[in-house]
Amino acid sequence: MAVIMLNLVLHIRHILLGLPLVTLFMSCAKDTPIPPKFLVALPQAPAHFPPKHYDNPQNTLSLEGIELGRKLFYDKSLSQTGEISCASCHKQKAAFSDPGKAFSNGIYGRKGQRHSPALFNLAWQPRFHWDGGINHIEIQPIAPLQDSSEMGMPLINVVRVVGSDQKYKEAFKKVFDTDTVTDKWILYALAQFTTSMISADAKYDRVIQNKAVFTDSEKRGQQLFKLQCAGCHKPPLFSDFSFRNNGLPIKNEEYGRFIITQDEADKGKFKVPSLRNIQLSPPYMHDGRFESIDEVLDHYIAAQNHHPKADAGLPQNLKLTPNERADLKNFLETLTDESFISNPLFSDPNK
Amino acid sequence: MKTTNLFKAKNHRFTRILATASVALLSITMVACGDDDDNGNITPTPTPEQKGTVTLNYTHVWGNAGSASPELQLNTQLIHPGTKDTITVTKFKYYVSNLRFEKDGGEEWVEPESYRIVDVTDNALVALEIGNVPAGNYSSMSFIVGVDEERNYSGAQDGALSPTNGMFWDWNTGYIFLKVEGESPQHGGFQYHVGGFEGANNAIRTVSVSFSNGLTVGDNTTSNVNMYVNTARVWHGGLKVEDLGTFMMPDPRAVNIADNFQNAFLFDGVN
Repeated sequence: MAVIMLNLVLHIRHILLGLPLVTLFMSCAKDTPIPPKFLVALPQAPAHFPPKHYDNPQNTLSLEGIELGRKLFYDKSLSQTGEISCASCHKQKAAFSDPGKAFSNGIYGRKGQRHSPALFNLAWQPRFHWDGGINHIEIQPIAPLQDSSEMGMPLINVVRVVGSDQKYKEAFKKVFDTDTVTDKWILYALAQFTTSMISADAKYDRVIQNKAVFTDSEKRGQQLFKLQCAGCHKPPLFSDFSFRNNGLPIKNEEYGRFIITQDEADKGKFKVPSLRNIQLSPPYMHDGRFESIDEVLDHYIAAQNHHPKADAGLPQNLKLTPNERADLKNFLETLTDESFISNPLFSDPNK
Repeated sequence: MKTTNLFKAKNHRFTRILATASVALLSITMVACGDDDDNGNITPTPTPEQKGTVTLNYTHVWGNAGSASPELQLNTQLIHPGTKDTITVTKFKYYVSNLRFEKDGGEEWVEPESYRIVDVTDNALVALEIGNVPAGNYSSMSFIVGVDEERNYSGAQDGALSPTNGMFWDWNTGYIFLKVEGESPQHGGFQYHVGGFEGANNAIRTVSVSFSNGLTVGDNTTSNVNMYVNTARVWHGGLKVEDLGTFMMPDPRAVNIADNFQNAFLFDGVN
């Protein structure tokens, strides 16, 4: 029941956000009933967010474009076996991560080599993947599409599958005014969807907007966070998107950023992940080695001792009393965005 | 690396403005462009409508002797002229981009959206057709073997730059500028995927070709620029197959090959 209520509230918010659009629509066709999808407005970033990194004037965001990207994101026919979609390893209920899985299953049950990251606020990210190997969001999907342990589908076959589907062809015609579906248009549509996945309605955001107040414990947790964590997990995105060695012992010759740059100094560095929705997206780290936030905190308490190349910005001599630990976790919980994980704009269109 | 299809100096459109615009407009335009001829002389140049085609004929050979070297035959055992390695080439594919044609005095035409793939298959000759070249007399040309830095950062692209052409790394963003694959009896299979646009592993190389007797492009005509491409040059400087192994990302070996291949182009003539 609570869930239904929440959904209702969310829908009402979307209706409110969509008011200008609705007005426009009504002025053109007063007697036509408004189809529900017109009640949704383009996702907007709040005022306390910095400017987006992604800006391609050739790929103008539209509701139809986002919708087309969403269809592609949830489409299993884009995999070699027809069983895996992007959403298979990026589930909305877990802020588009793969809950409980250190490594996700791709085609034929094959396991990936790194933990499936949560997806949100991607329009602000300059580089993608744990090792930062991808330098532009539009081309990021090519890697999981083609990877033999993920979707295993050569991009050219993706173009063939999408381009031979009449519904897709019509949608691409409508969104991009193109008669030919090429990989560029497919990637543009996916980027419209993924850059629209804005998570900015956590309690933390509502406190900034003076719509909510922190409890005393959350306030104390925020102070601890500012002191110990915010250097790398920089608000309001809760990452500075740099690559750092956070002191994890290296396992299985997994050298992270070094694999891309071949720079010895980059051995063991990984992208600093955002801590938004962190409660929703365990396990943690690039290999999902920690199952709980407590394990992560335990790691940082001892991190300096683990690795000679650990980042100088790591917490120094971190000690947490049980109360401090509870405060910090309570603050982290204010980064959970329930409206993001139930936003119908991002949900499975096949359901 | 912004491109423009106008002449940087004394351009054709400019000449037309001279013929049609008022003196006042003319002086403003000239001040704005900053390209005034010191002597006030207007060199007669063809109108911008006059455009021709240039066909670049790349004949891939095995050796540095131009027409005296044998043509590159894929899937055939070849002896390297320098190292004497036995090498069978199965794939030889590269980007030619950012074409420019220059005149004496520095005036140049830069082709917009200039990206093509040369893929040597059964035929050692690969012809690239360059359309809309302004008519005139050119003294040299240049092109990049590979893809300029900017387009390695530009997200989804189509045509020759579509990742479906198999010349793109999906896990470590960047174009493969030159792909040479094959095998040798001593070493087994090899794959050289040459790319990289940053820092010490930057493998972008520009090739310049001087036309000894000039290249004339006429209105609606096709002119040919003939070149020999010495594919054996990949292993120049005593580089043996076993020295190189296989690489599929930016790498000092890729830089080495890019340096070698930059000097593989031998101008033969125009007609």
